Amino acid sequence: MTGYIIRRCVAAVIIAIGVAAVSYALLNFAGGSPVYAALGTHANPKAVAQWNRVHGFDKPLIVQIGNYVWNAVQLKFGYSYKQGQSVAALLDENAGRTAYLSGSALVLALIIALPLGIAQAVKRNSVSDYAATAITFTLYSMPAFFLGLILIQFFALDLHIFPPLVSSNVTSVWASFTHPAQLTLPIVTLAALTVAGFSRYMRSSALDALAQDYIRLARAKGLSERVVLARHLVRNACLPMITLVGLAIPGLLAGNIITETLYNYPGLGLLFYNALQGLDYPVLLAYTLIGGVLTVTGNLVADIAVAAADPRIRLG
Amino acid sequence: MRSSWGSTFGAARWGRAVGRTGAQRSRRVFVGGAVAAVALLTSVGSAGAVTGLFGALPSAGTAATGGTITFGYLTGATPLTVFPITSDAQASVYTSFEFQYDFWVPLYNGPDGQNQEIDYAVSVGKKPIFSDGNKTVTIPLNSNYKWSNGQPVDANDLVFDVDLIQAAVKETPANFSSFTPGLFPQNITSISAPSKYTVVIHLAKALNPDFFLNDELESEGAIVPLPSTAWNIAAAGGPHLNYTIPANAKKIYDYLEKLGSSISSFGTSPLWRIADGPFVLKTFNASNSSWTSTRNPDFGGSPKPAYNALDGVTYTSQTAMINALKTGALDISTNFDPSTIIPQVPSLKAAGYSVYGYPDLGLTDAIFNFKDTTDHFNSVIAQPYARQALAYLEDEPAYITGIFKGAAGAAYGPVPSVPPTPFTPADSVNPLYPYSPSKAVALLKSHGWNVVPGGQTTCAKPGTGAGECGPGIPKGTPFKFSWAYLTPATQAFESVISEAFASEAKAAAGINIALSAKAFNFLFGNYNDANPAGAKYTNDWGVEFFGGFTDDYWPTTNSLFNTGGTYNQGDFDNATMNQLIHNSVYGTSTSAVTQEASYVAKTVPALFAPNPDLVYAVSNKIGGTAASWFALTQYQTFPEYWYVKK
Repeated sequence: MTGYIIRRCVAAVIIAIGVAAVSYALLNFAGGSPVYAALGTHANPKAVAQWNRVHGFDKPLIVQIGNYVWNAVQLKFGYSYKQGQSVAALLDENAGRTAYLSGSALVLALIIALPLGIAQAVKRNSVSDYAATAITFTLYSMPAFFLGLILIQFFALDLHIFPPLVSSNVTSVWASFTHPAQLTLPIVTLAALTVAGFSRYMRSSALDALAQDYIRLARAKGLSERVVLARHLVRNACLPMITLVGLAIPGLLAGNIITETLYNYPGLGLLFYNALQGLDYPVLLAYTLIGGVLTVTGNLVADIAVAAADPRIRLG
Repeated sequence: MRSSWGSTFGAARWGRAVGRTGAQRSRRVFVGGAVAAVALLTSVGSAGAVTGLFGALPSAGTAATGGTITFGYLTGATPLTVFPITSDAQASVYTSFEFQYDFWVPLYNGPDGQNQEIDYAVSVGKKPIFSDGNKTVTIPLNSNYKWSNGQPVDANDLVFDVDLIQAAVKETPANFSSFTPGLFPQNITSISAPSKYTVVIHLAKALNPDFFLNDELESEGAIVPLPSTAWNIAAAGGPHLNYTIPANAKKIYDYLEKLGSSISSFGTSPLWRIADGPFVLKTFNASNSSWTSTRNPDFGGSPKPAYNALDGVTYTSQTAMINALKTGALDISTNFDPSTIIPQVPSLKAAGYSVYGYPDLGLTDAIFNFKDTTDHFNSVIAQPYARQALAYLEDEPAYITGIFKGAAGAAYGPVPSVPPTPFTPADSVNPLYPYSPSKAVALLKSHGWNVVPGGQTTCAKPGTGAGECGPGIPKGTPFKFSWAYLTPATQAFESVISEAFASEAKAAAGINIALSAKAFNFLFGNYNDANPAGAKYTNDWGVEFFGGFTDDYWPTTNSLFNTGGTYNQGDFDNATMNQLIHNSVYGTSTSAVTQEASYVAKTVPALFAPNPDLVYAVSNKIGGTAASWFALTQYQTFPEYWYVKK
């Protein structure tokens, strides 16, 4: 197990470096130096040349890539000329908020989806199963902005239970935590969309598990249905969910642009969107790199977690 | 003349252009509503008088004392620098008009209500005096302005600003967004302060006084007296330097520019709290660019703000801002594109808001590429009759009614019909080439074209004589070209107008237009014959439509339609035009720019389109003068004229 983890970690580092190099090269081909972001589109050629020289953009691409990767290893992602801040500062400001929003939504989604999926499996083909299926399919097919607008109209503008958007004073994770009403609708929006997918996976997994011999044996032993479900079904049925959750980790920081935009909650998704609009290459690069790292990390965590949860799995 | 850099609504005035290069009164993005607009367009006629005024201005009411007014921003369209010498890269209306000028009063400022001219009541400078064949300019300053550290705003503060601008431009012209090669500040041979409230500028070459005043000294407020006794440092706590020495000016500029570009310094550096405007910046949230300011007790202008605080609040989207408005959480919105806000008007009115709109002073135009040799388009479009025929095919009244739902003003030349300026020519109000497909067809036929409505019109009579197509147009040449417009993902109206126009041109006159959508940066940077990098794209486009440009108060098309102009993207080349523009810039006539605008309208170097309104929502709890609400539609905030109602 230890050797496996070490090998996977080494591979993750190599992949992350590769992501950084490829991303840098692609953006370089697409947009070249960020000099025009820094100096404006009508900067004179002399100033452009000087700026490129000072910032190393006159060097061969391979050297630029090397410099970028080395700086990225040191968590130096450059400077956003569009936003007047270092990229690291921008990530630092936004990552926590996005992680809180996405993490809370993920937890809420799991709390709802796991029992819902199991209940649907146990009561499969019943009225309640069909009703839950209809609701989850509806949510699954619903765009985030549409669901968000419905929730805002109903709970904020009509019933005045929650605010329609997050106050601009809520700028830190702590502030988000201490103002639960502000984040309720964004979290519910994200969670509702996630519940739909998770509950379907859970239902399917539970149905598979219910057909296994060990469930029949447990029932044959005379165990109560509650014990059968709690002790024998849940752990086995949850194994696929571990992988799903692991793959969802990149989403924690990759952001939820629609929700962030709709509810006035600035996070990484919005940062990326604005960087894309403004051709803010340093931010785009850092964002892509972080997404790559988190994808690798999510896979790694999922594999290890599955191995830990299921003793039948032996890693080579 | 500057490109109106469209921000999107988000941001940019991408769109009418996402961005102007100068002080960037960028135009807003018009996103969405395209399909509906097309449908509407098909159902409306071309009748109907349109003034450009949409809705009704907020009512005045009675001012209460105290309170806070909140002003909305959109993420991605927030201030990028607090230092009032703004670079190309940082210039936007959100940086200057809607932020810096709340704290630092420009030398010359405007508009004066609806009228697009300098308002000396909100300017540090009085009307300048020109002498010595217009090579010497004496600028008297009002003596009533004070810095918040108690020092008076005097002539040295203006000299300080100009010295820093000269240092900035010497480093790179991109450091000063209002820079035009050979003009301010390069044309200044000396600047001095012979008395406490008088500045004298000597110019290397005489300029038209109206041009120098309205486009250089006013320059959309880019000349701003700065606190010369407090900001003349090159390091925090460093010694105060003699800024008249160029080397010192450079050090000071470098320091202030770097500090002013660091968002974290906005709300923390004591330098930025030394202001002469109606408000003083108090805090700036680096996380979301929201800010707070307090009333400046030392403000020397009039009226003094009746309320305590002006706060800028940032929203992540128009939708979020509209929801905030519906709950009464925001007093004054950012400007919306008509397609977004007009459907919301009933609910906003019900929520206690006034919604109004008015066009800003600028031009919206589809630019012809006079170098595109594809299908001899360069030769075809070089013919004035061909351009005039295209103008006849443009149904502006229908566009205004159908696409903009009334929230736009007609524009038939570089000066729109609204808002009014002292220099608007008659043919900007009464078009020379009003919508008339039959006249377009007749014009083409009279010049040797075989017009096939719904098919392909071709040149039937080549040659240079009367009734022939013109030089460089062989027999059988099709009247067809490519047309690239701003992607509707950024702003919708360009695409809808493009589709409507192409449809009309094909159906009525057999002119075939191949449409494509492109990003603003691609269009502005590459479909640009004035940019060396655009050479390889020269034959890729016949027309581009990214939005337009914003006018200065002396609305010359210098740099836009003169040969070699910085923004002459289609390489229009006309000797008469060059002379008229030269007269506007270097002549003495007070009607030069009117004559120039009239000639532009006549020769059609670009296809002019309606000028969209900037639409605002203002809470009924907030009052203000009508002039301040009109100013808002020119991206200009005069918050001292606002108040919380009793």
